[in-house]
Amino acid sequence: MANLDLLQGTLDLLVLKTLSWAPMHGYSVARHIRERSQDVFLIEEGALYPALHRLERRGWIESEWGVSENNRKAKFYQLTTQGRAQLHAEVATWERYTRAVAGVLQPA
Amino acid sequence: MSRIPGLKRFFRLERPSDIDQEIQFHIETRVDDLVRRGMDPDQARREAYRAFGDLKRYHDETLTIDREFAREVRMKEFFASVWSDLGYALRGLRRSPVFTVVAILTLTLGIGATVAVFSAVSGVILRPLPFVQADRIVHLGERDLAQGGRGGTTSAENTYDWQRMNRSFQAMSLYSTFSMTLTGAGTPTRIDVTNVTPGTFDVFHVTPLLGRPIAPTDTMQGAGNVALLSYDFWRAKLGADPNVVGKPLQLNFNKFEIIGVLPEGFHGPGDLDRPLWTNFVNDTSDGRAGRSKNVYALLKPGVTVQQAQLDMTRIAKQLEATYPRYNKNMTVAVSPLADVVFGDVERPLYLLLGASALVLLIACANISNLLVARGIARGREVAMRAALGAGRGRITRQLLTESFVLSAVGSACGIALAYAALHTMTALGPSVFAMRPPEIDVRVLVFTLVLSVASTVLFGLIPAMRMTRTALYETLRESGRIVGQGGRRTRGVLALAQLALAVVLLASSALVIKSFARVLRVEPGVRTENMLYADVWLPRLRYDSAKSVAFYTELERRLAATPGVLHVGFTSQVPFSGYLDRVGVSKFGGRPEVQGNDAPEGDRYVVTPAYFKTMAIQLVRGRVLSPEDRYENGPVAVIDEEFARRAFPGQDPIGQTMKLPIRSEFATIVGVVRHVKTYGLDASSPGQIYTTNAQYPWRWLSVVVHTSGDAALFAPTLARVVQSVDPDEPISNVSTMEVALDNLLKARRFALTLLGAFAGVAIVLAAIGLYGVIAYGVTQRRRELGVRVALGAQSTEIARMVVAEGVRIAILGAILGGIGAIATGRLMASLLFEVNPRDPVVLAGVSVGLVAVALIASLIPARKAMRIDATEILRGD
Repeated sequence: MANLDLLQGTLDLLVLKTLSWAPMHGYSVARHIRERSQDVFLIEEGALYPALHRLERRGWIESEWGVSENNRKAKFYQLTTQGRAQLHAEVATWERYTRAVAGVLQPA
Repeated sequence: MSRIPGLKRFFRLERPSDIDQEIQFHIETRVDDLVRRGMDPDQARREAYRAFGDLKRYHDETLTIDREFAREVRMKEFFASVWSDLGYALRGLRRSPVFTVVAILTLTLGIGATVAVFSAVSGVILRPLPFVQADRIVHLGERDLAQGGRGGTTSAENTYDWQRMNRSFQAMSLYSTFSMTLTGAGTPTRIDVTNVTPGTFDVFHVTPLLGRPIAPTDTMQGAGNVALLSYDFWRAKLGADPNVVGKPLQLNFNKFEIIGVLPEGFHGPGDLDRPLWTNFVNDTSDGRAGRSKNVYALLKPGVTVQQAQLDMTRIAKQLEATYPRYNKNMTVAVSPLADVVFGDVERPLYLLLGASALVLLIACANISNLLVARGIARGREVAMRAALGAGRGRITRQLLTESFVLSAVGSACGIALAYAALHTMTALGPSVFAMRPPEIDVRVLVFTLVLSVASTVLFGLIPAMRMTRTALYETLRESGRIVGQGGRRTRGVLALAQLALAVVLLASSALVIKSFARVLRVEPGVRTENMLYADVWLPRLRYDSAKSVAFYTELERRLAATPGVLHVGFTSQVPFSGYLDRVGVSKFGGRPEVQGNDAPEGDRYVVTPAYFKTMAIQLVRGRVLSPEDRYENGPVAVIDEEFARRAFPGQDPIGQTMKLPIRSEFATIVGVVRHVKTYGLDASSPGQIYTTNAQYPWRWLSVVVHTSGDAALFAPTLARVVQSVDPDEPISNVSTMEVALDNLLKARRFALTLLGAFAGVAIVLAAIGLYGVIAYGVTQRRRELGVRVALGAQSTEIARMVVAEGVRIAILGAILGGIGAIATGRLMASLLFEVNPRDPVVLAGVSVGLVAVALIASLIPARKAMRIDATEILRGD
């Protein structure tokens, strides 16, 4: 199966969802998305960082420096209250979107 | 992993190395992962970089995001602190309402007055005249060698010579003015007409909107009558008819052909700004002495006004030599157009400029004073804030904000005041304002705003500037005692300056008021209440001498019989209304003929005998004119005291004879009457010579009616009666003597109102300034006063001390101001009338007034001082 390009907006959604499980650093987020999506998306891991910083600027996630499992200094992100609300909204939008597309694609 | 604490994290500026670190962490962890899964370390690293993607791009993208974020945050922070400063400033201002109101009032008055006056002056005087090459246009006026000034009209003969002999001008404009009756287009109306030469179009660069200008062929004897319409007249009376060229017009029952329309917005100076321009026909019937023509000229390129003046002086001398009879002692003055248009208004306007500059100075001094005092009083508060950790920059900004709020509100009010003041000035002021209503001049506005805001801000920063570390400590320790005596001296000096300036303004306006009162008291020499007048001029075609006499006689008879009329008479000139008909009498019976310009001059009045009674002109000797003085009898004349004094010094004029225009027989003087001040109560006028229209037929008489009721209400009745005698006869220029007299006083009254307003503002500001100094002085000396009270001083004694300080400053201010007032008094001489600029009564009065004001201003702080509780002070605070 060919790898698909991922839209920026969708990436934001995935990041938010990922962080809703638990606070984690950028690498974990990348790995999580990769595993959960079974590597379908063609995503350069570096693209995550602009996304993360953008989300932080919008106030949906916040960050703090800490120490990782492998004893390195890492920046951890977590969802804010607004972020959680934003996540709910975006998920709802996504589901409406996919339902609509699916509806059109339905055989007769 | 720790919980992430509050908002603070968001405001941290992300440095590039942070992003490097984040990315590096990602790479390293990837490498570790891959190695753990068994990959070769080098291969793992390569794979990690590959999977990451374009490292530089993502790094830079992230960096940009962070930078923008940081910038956003800084902006928010900035606005938040500005907002808090604003709140702080407003609270602070609200806590001292008196200070706030006074400061804003001061700014308003200072800015408003200055901007209004400067705008008015610059609008009137400094705006360029609306003519092409206006600075190259000059007025050529003939005047007596002995007199100064711009000169006046000249004769056509002279101007032909000027045109021939000059080397300085590339075009010359000649014109004279008439009032004619326009008929054939609705009711007959009187219309003002100017006769112009073709050169007029060159001098003023006028190209007709329609049709053609007046050509040299139109000026030759026998040329047809042609006319050009002004734009406004064309629109209003002819409905902007595009086919108007070639159509006829009837003026004084003569046919005129319309040859063109003048361009929109063109208004010639003075009398050139009339609805109709007709062609000036070369006509020498007036002779060289018939001086009724006005001349403007356009300088040749490269010729200066001074060079032109020298040229014309040379020409005048030559003409004087060639025609000694007519041109003796006459020379020509060359004046720039601007002088002619603005000349009379310049002086008073510049004085006003001076006055408003003074007010602005006072206002700035006042503001400074107020702020310095306030700043010192707040020294403690500022020190406290600094001690609590506010940075010096932050405190400065807070103080600045307060100053800005004051400046902003004060400026806004000031601009509003300026607007209102300009409107009032346009309504009340001299006609020059009506011509071009002044608007707020932006440069003046900017300058004034900058000045006021700068002084506000500067002096508002004083507390911050005084903040050195030692001063801080001292301030806190001294608990209420204000740091530094230096501020007090500054404030005292500022208050002094304000008082002195106020004295100057007060004295000036007192002088002007006194002049005005003096002018009003002058006896005009005629009755002025309930007097209606109007021009009833007869056209030549329908009225010859006999018919005109009959007309006026009949009209007078009918009017006298009309209810509401007490007296009625006719005259060729109505006093106070700007008429001018002056003759020089050179031939007297029993004397050699007097040379041309040595002849005594008098204003010639052709009247009906009832004129004297109507105008209530007093008889001094002999008799007034009577109906018995008919054409067949020998001509007689009545003169006034002034002419008698000049023409017959030391003699009895009764029985003497003199030759007056239009009749060859000499007129016998039969009476002397009181002098009438025809040009205004404060202007001189030569004497008056009266003859009756029966003996000197005259078609241009004005009727004067003494009504029993309000004169203005009689106007329609007057028109009706005139038309009952001749339905085609219009009346024009209807007005009352009161209005005419009032108009003459307009300029004086305007100056008075404005100066008075300025003086009022100045004294209010000065009083406030003084109050401020004394009040804060009291606050400052609380401890000292408290000690005195404890030592047994009576409260009245304390009060006296305080008041004495105020009076001391006031006296000093009055002295300084008095010196200033004497100096400026000389500048004002032109505005004054029979009042000495160094009038001691005025100066003394103003000084006393000032001291009185100072007393009152000091009383309030004195009362506060009296209530000082000694124990409270000594207990320490």
